Amino acid sequence: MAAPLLADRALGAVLVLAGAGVGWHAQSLEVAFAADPIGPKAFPTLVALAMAVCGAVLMVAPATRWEKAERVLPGIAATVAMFVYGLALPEIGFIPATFALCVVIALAFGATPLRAAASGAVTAPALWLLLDRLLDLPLPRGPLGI
Amino acid sequence: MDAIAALMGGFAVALTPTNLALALAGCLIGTAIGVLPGIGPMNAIALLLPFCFALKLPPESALILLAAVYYGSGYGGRITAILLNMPGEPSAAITTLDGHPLAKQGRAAAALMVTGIGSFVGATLSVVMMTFLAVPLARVAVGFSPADYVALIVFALSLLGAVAPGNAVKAWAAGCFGILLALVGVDSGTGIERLTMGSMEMLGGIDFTVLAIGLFAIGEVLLLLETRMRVAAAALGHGERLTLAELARCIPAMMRATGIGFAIGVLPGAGASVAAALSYSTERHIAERGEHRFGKGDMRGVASPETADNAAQIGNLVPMLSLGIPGSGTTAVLLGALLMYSITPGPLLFAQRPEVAWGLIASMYIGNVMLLVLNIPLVGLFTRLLAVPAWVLYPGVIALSLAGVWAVANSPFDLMLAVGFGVLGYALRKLDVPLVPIILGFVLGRLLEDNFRRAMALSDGDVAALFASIPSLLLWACTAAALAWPMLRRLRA
Amino acid sequence: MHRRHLLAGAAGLAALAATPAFAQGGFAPQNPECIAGAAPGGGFDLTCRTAARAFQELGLIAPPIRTVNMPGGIGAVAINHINAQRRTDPNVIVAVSTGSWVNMAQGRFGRWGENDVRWLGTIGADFGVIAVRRDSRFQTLADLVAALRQDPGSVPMGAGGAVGSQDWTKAALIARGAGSDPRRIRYVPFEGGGQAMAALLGGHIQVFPGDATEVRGQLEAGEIRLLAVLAPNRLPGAFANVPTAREQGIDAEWTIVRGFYGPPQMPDAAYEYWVEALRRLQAHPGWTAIRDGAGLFEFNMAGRDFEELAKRRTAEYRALAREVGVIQQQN
Repeated sequence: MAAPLLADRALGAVLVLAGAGVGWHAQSLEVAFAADPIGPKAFPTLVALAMAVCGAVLMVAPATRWEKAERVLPGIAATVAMFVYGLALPEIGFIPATFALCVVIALAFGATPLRAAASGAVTAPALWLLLDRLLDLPLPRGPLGI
Repeated sequence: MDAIAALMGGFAVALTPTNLALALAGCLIGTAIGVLPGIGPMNAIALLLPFCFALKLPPESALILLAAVYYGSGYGGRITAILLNMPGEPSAAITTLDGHPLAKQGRAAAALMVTGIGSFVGATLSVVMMTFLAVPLARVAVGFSPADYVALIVFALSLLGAVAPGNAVKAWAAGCFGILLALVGVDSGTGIERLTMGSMEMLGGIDFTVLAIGLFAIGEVLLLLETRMRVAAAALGHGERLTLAELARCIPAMMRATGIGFAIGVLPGAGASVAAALSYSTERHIAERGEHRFGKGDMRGVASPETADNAAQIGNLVPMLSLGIPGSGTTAVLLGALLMYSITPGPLLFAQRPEVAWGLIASMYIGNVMLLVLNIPLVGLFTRLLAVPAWVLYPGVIALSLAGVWAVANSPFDLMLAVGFGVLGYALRKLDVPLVPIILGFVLGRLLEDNFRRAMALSDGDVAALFASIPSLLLWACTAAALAWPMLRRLRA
Repeated sequence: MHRRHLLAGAAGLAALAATPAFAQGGFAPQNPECIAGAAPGGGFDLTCRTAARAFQELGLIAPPIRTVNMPGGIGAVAINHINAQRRTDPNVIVAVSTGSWVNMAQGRFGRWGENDVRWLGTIGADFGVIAVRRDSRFQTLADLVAALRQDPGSVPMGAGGAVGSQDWTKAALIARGAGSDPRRIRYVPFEGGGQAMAALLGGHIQVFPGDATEVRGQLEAGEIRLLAVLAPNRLPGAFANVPTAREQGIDAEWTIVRGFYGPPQMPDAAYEYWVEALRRLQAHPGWTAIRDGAGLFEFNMAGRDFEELAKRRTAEYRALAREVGVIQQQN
């Protein structure tokens, strides 16, 4: 009976650990002097405690089953693509990076390679025009200048 | 009445062809900015300002344009919130609660229609209140002390249970998590770093855009990828249009939301997100008495937060114009624009520069009508967004969201953080943990701590100061009622 | 390719007609950027946008300077970015203020300090003021000082910064001048000067140690009074009747300098170019009106002088922070 509810128990455990970590961190906050009688410690300590209590309750009384994903690979591919995008954006410039990101996500959504390439080829320059040119929000340039 | 005569003078300014055209342009830009996740009216106003100087626009025309961008953005945030479950601006997070379920039932068009009308009602009634009461209201608002803010925020938090149905423990855990996220960065009381894990990038705290885009936009897309987009496909069904009976049921909700939104907006220390959350949960409490579908797609659940959002935006202009005190980042930018024109907002503005103050107020009546007229035919266009194939729509949404994150702080770290929150948002959805309490905790947590510490600094640690004023006593009474109400009902049942 | 931006282009054309942009040592900026360590609307943002607009309108620099917002830690994120990734970039300048020096002095910029950038020059300054409400019990700075001397905790003060910030330091300087312990003053930090002003008008705090620009509207409307300006000399215009703190026997001065620095290894040609550009801006007859519009008072300094000022001020603030106990003795 416990096995399907493992996810909630794990969530509870994570919350307890995170609460403990934050509470411990809060105790290390030292200031030369504070202008207010409360200081920077009290609030995070209290909230962390409350979160840990919620976590403990969940560990004892879990409620949700984790539904197994039908497909895992597309989600992982998209996540990896987004992380790599974050790293690569300042290096290779907005348009190439965004093109690659769009292609991966379009493929993950089941597009044919040709369609995925088309999606990226339209989206990347369009966004660049909108944000960088029209809205004057500077986007990274990269070696190609775009 | 003086105000009427002055307002007529204002209409003479606002109705010139140039100013009408500028108001229209501002409304269009504002709506577009509101739709784009991450890119807020602040960016657009900062960008348009040099443009105003280059065109040598007089100050009243510049303000008409910039203000139209500001209140126009309040119409845009709901669109992606309803259609895609991705709020375009902070206060629209609440709108996802009922807006997206409605879209999934094929009623996106109806939800967009009712929120468009709600936005118009909230904004226009607020402009009316502003016309007659701007200066006295602002004077009352500054009397609201840190202790009063504490009572207000505690009241808003006490309604948290109503915002997130389902597992209450998970809602509270999510709220706590949101509060802790808000505490990351430099402590505003003592200037020391908290919860930054030694990272320079975390010094400025976590930006709302990064959190919202991660949890909502990226998390949603990851979930869609897993379920083969069944959810998105369901939204394509063409449901019933908004019926008059439904609209009529929403009218009282809109009225209450206007009152709540405007009152909160006038306070310099609370924002549109607080207003939207408070009016949504109030409405839900009221609806509990009868039949309702809150959380599963209730029209009142979208009308109320959107009305409050727009009312609060207009309310925010009151202390800015009549006292020179900005209540939000965007009004601070507007204030800066006025200063660049050598116009000092404050009690003297209405007397010394009536063409600016009253021209702006008059243009807001016109602008909101324009926005309503623009938004109704656009509903059909927006819902067609759902017909775009997933492999075009979602890559675009992700790229736009990440570009929006980039624009906030030009930081690769923030991009990674957003993706991290995306994975978290996915996991939390799978675990049935509600996301909106995270957002509310994030918005309210810091306000609560700061104001509590301010109140304690002022009273030298005397807790009785929290109950020392009439507004605070009223709000504590409301809190007690909100907490006691569900228990009472259970007792009776 | 000429990367001229759509809207700024209009301003650029007007500028080209006026005076040709200059060149210095063969360097001309390409795609120049100004980094503002704040969100749009903040002080750094205003510094960048005002300077960019003036350079453009007065025809001093041909390509438009784009403002890049990098909020976080009053410039901490920006200085980290410059030192980590753009140490030699000739096309980037970063907005800086006295607030950055205070943070450098207190070690709040991580390992980066006043020697990790090239100081370019200023565009102006703002000055601290001591504001009270119209009906305050304090008529002069002497009244406030007397109250603080008797009991430093008896006067609730508040402004837009934390303990150790510029605003707090202004209050601390007054307390020190009164001969009382700055740590014992009752100080309430608000989210920005606007909210502190609201608290002053609402009667929640009695004294607001703010800046001249942010109190001007209320001063002109007669809602508040100023007990002192914390400037070396009296300020012009609406402030002309307000005595300086020093006139009233309190050694408290607070100048909020606004200017720019460049990356630590900015090439000399580029450094000279930006310093010269700022000098020309400061001397330009059209600059006064733009500067006034940005709420800045005249404060001109560039190159070596500015570098000396930056180093002198950070040293002073380091000593001050130790004296009033914001940072510990060592380091």
